[in-house]
Amino acid sequence: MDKKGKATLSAMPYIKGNKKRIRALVISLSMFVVLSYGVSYILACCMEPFEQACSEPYRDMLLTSPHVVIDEYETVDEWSELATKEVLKCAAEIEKIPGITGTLLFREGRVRMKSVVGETSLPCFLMDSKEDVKTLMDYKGAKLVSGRLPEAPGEILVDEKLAKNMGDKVLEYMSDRYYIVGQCESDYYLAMGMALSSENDINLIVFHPDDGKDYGQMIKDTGIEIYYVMDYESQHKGVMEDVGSLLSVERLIQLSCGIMLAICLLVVLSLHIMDRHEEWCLMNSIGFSSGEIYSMALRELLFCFAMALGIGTVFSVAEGIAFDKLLCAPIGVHVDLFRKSMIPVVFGVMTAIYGCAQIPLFVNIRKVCTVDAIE
Amino acid sequence: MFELKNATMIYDMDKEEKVYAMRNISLQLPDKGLVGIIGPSGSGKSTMMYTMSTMKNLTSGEILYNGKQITNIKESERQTLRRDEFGFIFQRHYLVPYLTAVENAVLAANCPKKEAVEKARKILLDIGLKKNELDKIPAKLSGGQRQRVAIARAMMNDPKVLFADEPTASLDHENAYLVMDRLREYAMERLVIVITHDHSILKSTDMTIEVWDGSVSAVKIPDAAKIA
Repeated sequence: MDKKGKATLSAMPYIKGNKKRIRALVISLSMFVVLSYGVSYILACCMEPFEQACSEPYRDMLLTSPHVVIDEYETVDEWSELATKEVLKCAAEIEKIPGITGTLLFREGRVRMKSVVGETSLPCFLMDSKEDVKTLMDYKGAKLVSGRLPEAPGEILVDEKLAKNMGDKVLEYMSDRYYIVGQCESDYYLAMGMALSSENDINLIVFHPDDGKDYGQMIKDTGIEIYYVMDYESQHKGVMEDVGSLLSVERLIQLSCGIMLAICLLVVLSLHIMDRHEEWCLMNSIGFSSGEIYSMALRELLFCFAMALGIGTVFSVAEGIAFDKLLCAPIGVHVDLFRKSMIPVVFGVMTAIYGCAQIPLFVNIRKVCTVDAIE
Repeated sequence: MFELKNATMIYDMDKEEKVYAMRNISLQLPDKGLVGIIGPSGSGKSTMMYTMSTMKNLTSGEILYNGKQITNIKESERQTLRRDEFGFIFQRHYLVPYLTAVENAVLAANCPKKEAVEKARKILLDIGLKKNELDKIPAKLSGGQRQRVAIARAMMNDPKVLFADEPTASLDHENAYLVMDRLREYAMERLVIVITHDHSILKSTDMTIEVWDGSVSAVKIPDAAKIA
């Protein structure tokens, strides 16, 4: 009712008078939101840490390996010494490229890293001098938080997230002669240390500004023959290919749940609406138009959807926090609680379900008549 | 207030054997007072109510309300008439099952909610509902109590015409007379059209229309009413 003296139909009486039905509807809809969020978060838990670990450090640096040919040598150590000299020559050439701020020679080891589901390996930067270790640390903004910096061959410094992630197994892919002497704090999953003399996988770290320029191509353009370039673009592309396949799984689960929910909802809603035929006929008889009745039913439904979104969001946040504490924190990975990608999907599916709910509503509104037809 | 001119209503128009619910009825109803329409089941008295209240369309003839033809008006105009001018007490109550007695009464109220609730409580108490029954849902009320809720709902907006289809059908004699007294009181200022097959409750009507097989067989106006 309003103060102008015209009777109006409110959605609230039905909501207040049918709490069990409304509760069941709101819970089923909010469970969809919670489920969607849960799927999105779990899948993100699988891939996002890899994305952070594999591509984020390469925004302002790239890894490459110049192709050097050493024809005459007698021992591996001799080859290594000669090859190092050649690589350093290439590094000097690379440093001449405008924008490039420096290079560091490193020998590559691999450290283990796991996500909530799945595992990968990351480069461990093995340097020839402790000064190089310090240079890399400073460049990546890493700070020593426990232990000490590597000083002798075989000594490794790992980021505390990585240490938490794999514990003692972090160096499992490397020689037994490597051991951790300290932990640092940084925004990245970092591992670096002093190379053993047996390491022959010689590579270069090339420092450059995060300005979006293709420094890998610039290096190739100089004519220096290189085996590979590992930069942000190539790493990000690789990770996104894997994420993309998981994203399809996420969408499939969300859509399947949405379709099942829509079917259940349509059946339940049809039964509810059939129950209300006489009620709506009465309303029509005492002067309310079909449009007014339809609008009331729409508002009832809208209230349920809004409630479901609100409740679903609250439970999703709780679910996210629980996942973070139980799944992510123990292995030192971090996944954003806010899942931006699921918002359009959840809203899309909810809107589609709301749209589908119009079918039984519309069909039954068309059947509304005055009570004489029932009598 | 109401004038019926050759009002005819035929059911099963498409079939060979047509059923006349109203056959060439012509009559005029007063602006106020208690009008009883009486007749056996199937005589067409309810159809008469439905056509006068715009719920059903006549097959032929016309009905005038306050001098205006209401037979072929738009659906929205019919709804406005039903909402603003008419009140209804249906034979089968048609209460909303999840609303309390008071909430059912204020369903179509056209005044602010607080005022409507107070008014509904007063009407419900007036027509015999007890205080503790006001907040009960229809399932917790007896047939008679439900009927009273339906009556209260019909009276909420002080309609100019109140249509009552068997308003005392589910009431005992004592309550039936109580309700009829209330309708009679209401009819002092408005028009109340009561449809019934019970002669005993129509003792003090201002006009009694007897319907038989779709036709008006007699219109009785008591002398006292004629003088008035």
